[in-house]
Amino acid sequence: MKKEIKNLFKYFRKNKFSIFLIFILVLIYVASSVITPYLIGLSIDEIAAQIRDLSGNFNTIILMLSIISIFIVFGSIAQFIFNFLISFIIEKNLRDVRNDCFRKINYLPIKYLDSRTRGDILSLAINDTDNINLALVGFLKQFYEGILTIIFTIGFMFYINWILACVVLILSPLSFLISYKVSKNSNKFYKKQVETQAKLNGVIMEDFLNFEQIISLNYQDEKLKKFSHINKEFYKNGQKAQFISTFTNPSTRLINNFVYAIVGFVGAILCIFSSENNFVILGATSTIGVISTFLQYANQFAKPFNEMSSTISEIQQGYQSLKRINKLLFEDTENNKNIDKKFKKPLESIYFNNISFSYDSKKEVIKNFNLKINKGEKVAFVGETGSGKTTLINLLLRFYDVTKGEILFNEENINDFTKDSIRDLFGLVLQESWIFNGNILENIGFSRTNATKEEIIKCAISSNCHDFIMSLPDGYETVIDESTSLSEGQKQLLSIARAMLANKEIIVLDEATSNIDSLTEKKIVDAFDLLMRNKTSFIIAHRLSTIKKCDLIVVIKNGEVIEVGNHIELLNKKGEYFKLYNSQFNSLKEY
Amino acid sequence: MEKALSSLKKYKIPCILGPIFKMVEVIFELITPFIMRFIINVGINEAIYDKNYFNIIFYSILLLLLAVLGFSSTIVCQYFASITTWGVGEDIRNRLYKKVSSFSSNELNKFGSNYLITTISNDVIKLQNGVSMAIRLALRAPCLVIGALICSFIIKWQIGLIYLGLIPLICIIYFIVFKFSSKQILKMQEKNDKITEICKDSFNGMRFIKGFNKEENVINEFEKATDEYYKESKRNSILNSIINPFTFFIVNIAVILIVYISTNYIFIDNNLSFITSGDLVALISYLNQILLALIVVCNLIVIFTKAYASNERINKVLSVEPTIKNGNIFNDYQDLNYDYIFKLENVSFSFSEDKHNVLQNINLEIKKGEKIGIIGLTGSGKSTLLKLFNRLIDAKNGKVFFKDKNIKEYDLNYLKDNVSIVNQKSILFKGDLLSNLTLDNPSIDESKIINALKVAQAYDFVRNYSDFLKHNVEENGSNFSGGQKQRLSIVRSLLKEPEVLILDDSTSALDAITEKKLLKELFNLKDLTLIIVSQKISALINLDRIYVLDHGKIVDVGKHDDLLVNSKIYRDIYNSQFGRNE
Repeated sequence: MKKEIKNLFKYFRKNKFSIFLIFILVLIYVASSVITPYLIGLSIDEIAAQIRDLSGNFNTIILMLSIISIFIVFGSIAQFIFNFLISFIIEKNLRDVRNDCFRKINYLPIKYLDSRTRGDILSLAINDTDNINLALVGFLKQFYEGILTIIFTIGFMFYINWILACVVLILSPLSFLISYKVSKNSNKFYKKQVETQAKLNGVIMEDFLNFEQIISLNYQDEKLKKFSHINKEFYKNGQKAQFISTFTNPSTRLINNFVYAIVGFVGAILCIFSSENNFVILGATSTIGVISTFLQYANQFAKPFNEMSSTISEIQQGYQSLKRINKLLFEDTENNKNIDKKFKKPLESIYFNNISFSYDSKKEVIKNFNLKINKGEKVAFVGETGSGKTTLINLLLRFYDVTKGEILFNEENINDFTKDSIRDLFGLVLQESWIFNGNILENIGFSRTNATKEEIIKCAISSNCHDFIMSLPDGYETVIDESTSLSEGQKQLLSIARAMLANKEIIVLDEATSNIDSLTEKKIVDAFDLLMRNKTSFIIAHRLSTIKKCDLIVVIKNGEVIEVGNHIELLNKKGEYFKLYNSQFNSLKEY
Repeated sequence: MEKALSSLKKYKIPCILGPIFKMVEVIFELITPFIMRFIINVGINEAIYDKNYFNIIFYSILLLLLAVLGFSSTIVCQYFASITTWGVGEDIRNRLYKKVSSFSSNELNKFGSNYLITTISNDVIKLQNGVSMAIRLALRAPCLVIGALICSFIIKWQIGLIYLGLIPLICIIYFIVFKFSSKQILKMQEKNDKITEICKDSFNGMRFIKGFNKEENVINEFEKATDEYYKESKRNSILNSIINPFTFFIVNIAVILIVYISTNYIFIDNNLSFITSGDLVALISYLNQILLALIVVCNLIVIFTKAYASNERINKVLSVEPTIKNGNIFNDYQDLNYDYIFKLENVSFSFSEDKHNVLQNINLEIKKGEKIGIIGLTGSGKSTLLKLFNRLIDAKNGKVFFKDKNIKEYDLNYLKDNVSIVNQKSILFKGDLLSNLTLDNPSIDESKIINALKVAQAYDFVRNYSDFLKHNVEENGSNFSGGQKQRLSIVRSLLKEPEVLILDDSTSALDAITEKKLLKELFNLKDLTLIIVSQKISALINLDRIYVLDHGKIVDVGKHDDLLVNSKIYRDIYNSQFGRNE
């Protein structure tokens, strides 16, 4: 058996009994649904005999009806229980699959996330499990029930009348063939529809994220024209795809009605032959009861074929999803290298010992980088966009690992410690603020889950966000999310409060203040000065005024250190830093 | 109130023809058992006693013919259904787009772009599905049930009574299950949204989660959410599991009753002509048809529930009455007979009634040709103030005058073309430079564009493109740097030849020298009223007047040199940027 399916089975192992029960219950239901038409047919024959020559047997009919009643009661109860059990077991186990996926994603290296789009990962955790759900339900309900129904019906049909059985057996599967052909054909159109839809969604995204500007530019009418144009195209392709694909149902009904007519005709002819001189073609006797039974069988027989044909694509899709999920679940997590040594605080020194790094093993982003930092020093990385500043932070926190050289904490390689014990040293504020759905308290308190409300408010006050928080409708209890109309600066202030609350040994500010005005930035930096006393800190900033006070300013170009020193030293050097600094201050001169 | 489904009016004919053709198919389907009854009752006897096979053969062929006719009419129905469905979808999308483009900032904010995007892309599709299923499948079941009822009365009214008892029973249980199930599906949807949200949030913040070692906390949240979803889905599956067995049960009980009653009449009352075996076959066939049609309806519950919820969401957008109403003053470029191009009197603004004022008692006067600056800290209300100038919002209290007349009296198109705002976050649209700069206005010629490019200091880099103005613009203008985008946005606004140009921090990504050149060029346009909002003192130094905004109020006004002396905030900002006192 395929590895993926074996793995899926593991989840269902604890439901062995329920699954066994499902198999039995489906059997009961199918049996009752196949036997009923047969027994009804027998009853009709008795009635017909009574009408013809009073030879019908009243007790036989009553017996038949009693048996049918029992079958119907048990059949419908069985159907109810297995319907419920199937969805119950599948939902439960897929909840576990989903939880395992999410857990896995949280423990995968950042590299995994960086190399994929958010949408891809999201669909792994959300859509793929849904697809498996559909496939499993389809498999258990449609396939198992369908195949049982087909087997039972074929058995009964041949038992009753082999000629009619052959008629049904040959004609009914035709509908299966037709729906298969139709879906193959409509796929072509469907593909076109999906392509146009993607195009339309692209336009929608672009326009709706910027609608205020479009309106402000008075550009909405021209934009609407463009939108309508693609919308029209979507209409054309979608209408065609839908029309073609809806051929399936009527086509199968056409076949069903054909079978109905032919069964009626052949059945009637056989009836006539049977009554005439007891002339029977090869033992195939027919009565009106038989016709009635077969008319129902013809329907029952075709139904599973139609359903299975629609389930096949679901099962295929589910299998692809299962493969993807399986691949995810077998990815290597960050911490499976059998390292359990924890880094022991306090941190005394950090040493970048001749490190190099490359994201794609082609272009080196960091080249032979050397730097020694002592406890309590404030370090600034300065350089152009893409010079490798943020990469250094990524390496320090072990979001990525160096490709050459080593980073030493207290003269020991950080790769020898568990990642969480290294990360435990850092309080982070990154360029992109992060707000999640929850109230303000939860958002700030995220970094230290046991913090009291007073502690949180204290941090909010010292990071200058208390004022705007109080102006929100519910103060600290206001629920916010990404789309809340907080300004970029306000979101960043919350991130800063969050980092303050964590109160870690090392503070990292990666372009943290680039979206905040200079005065507020100054206030924050002041607050940090207080907080960072005796703490090691790393600052990356565009504005040089914020980093003037750092002990160590490291100027980086193309992943290499080109200048190191403090503000005064570097200015006196009249090198790269001097140039950068002056370009910012030139702006003061009048024009 | 505008409703999503009023789009159906445009597709009246296909929308009516579709169900009619469906009905034709149902009628053919209902005739089929009737003919079978005739074959059994008459055809077989004729063949046995008179050796006359004509009727059997004739009616069997008729059955085949009916099948083909039924098929054809369904196809016609499907065709009309597909036209209606997609036509309605297209129309609703266009209407939504149009509606949103009439929104003010207030309404855009209230919904949020995420809501609007989901509505126009997903909800319309879901509603479409509902419409399509309603025309194609949902009508079939009730028609079939009612038709079968009529036929059963024609065949034997006593049996018809069984059908009559059967129908309300089915209706009641379907109604109950539909009602509860649709509520349950919405609840599940909510829980599912929560799961998606946690996923999105945590994928966005993965560096923070890992950095703070909070993986377990997030996983716990997620597991709580999946568990809640599971609980709701369990409730839903109980409901859904009832309906099929119930239908199976009821329909078969009806079959048993038919046989039992007939048996009673024939065996006990000796009423041999009560019913024929052909009648029985036909009646049982009807029940089977009903059973199959109802099972199809069951599968539609989810689609309809979702379509209903989507319909509500769409209606919520469509029913908004835009708060910004159009005025009728148009084209008074020649009218120079006014004192102030802009005048604000005691203007206050808040995003909703219960929220605090973002702007408070703003008073300002701007004359034509003046160059004005506005400075303030993050969240001081600068951008909100600007939105008053081209009516992206209206003042809550106080009055805004444009050329001495209430700004509400002006035609919005005229106003927006005449007062052009350049945002800090400059947006370029997928396409080419030409369409981005002219905003698809064909009357702008190349010399004007080149001129504007030169003013905005963009000519140098645009000139270097071999395809010049036909240069490709990627989605979100991702093939341009921030500074290039800002300059191109300024060009775009200049090409409207506005009387008032407003730069909302739109030179923030420019280097100092380019910024200086650009501002100098703008200063030279004597007729142009210029309003510059910036956090950078360097962009404001030479202006006629600078307003200092703090917590939604104008706290200081003056020239750069005056403010350095008189305004504490201005001085603080200045010092934070140039570090004079450190």
